[in-house]
Amino acid sequence: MSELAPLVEGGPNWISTLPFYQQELVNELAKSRVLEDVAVAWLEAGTASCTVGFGAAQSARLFYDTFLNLMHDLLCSDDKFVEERGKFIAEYKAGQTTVAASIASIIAPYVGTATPMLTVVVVITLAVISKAGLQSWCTAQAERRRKNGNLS
Amino acid sequence: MSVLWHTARMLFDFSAICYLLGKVEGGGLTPLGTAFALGGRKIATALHVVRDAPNVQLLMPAPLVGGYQDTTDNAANVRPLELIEVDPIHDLAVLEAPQDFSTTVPYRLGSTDEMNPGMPVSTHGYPHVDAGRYVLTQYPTTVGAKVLVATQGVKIKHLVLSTLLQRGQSGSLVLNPATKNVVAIIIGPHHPTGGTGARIVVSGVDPAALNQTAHAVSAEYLTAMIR
Repeated sequence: MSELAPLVEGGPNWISTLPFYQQELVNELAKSRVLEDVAVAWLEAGTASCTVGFGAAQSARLFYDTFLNLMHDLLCSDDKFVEERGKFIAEYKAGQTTVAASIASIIAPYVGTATPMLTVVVVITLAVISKAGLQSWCTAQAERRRKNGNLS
Repeated sequence: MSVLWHTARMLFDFSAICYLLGKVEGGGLTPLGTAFALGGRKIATALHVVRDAPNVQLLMPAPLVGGYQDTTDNAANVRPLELIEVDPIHDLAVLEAPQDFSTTVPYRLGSTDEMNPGMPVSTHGYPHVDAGRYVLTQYPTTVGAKVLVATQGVKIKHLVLSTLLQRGQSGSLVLNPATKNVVAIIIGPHHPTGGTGARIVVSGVDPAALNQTAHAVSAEYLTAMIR
């Protein structure tokens, strides 16, 4: 965790790293929600409320919880995602990758969604971590998982 | 041999710029919906068509036979696409084709602002793909209404088109022949429950979606994604 803390805590204003149209959407959603709920709203959206949505979307809240579990494993554990974390840090130090897109590409295969869709959720989560500090965020996520009975 | 499609004031070869998308699944290709070229390597569609498909492929149109689309020719020539921009609020996606793929388009992106009820438009897409029918089909229709709808509390500009949609037409362009602008993108038929309530499906068809009330989202949101 100590290696990752400077990357995710001391980063930029995370929302400003998104393309401008996505910044505008996230800021609009954040007018009436806390950031965590903006992430859920992002995942939940897809079709307008008056039309048929083709395909069966997972429950956004369940999806978000799964995403948080994986993000917690990646950022807070020492024994999970070891290989991916090492590769990510090496590429980052070589200037070959960006933090949010890399994290999204690591997690996306586990949740079965497209990396660009997940990148915005990663950025929002990094913004939350930036405010709370990585140690506090890890502690809060461990507590959430204990309550949900899914901390392994 | 290409065929020029007649709209009110233009002749376009739409078969060169409107595509069927599919995904690789179980050794075969499952059709997803319609997309259209934005120029260069970029392709646009509705996000719900591609958001959960990891291997989106563009099916290149089969050569015409004497000016006819040959429905007996099932050989698919596919090109892989990469999803590069997503906007789930407006249900829009931009994908990128390989470097050796490039298009020039005869239209520009406009906005629903330029349309009013009663004005003619045309849509170009692939209806009935779930039944294995891969025929690019033009539907001339009119604007039935201009409405604001909300997704997650964000207000969005839609056109309501007086046309019946079938599976596969999501992602179709909506053309204003008077300005040669793509003014909107088809995202789906009106549904009384928004598709989230109890639904009855008969032979793969949801009767509640059988209405001539198609929704299309303004193309101005797509413009913002490719700046």
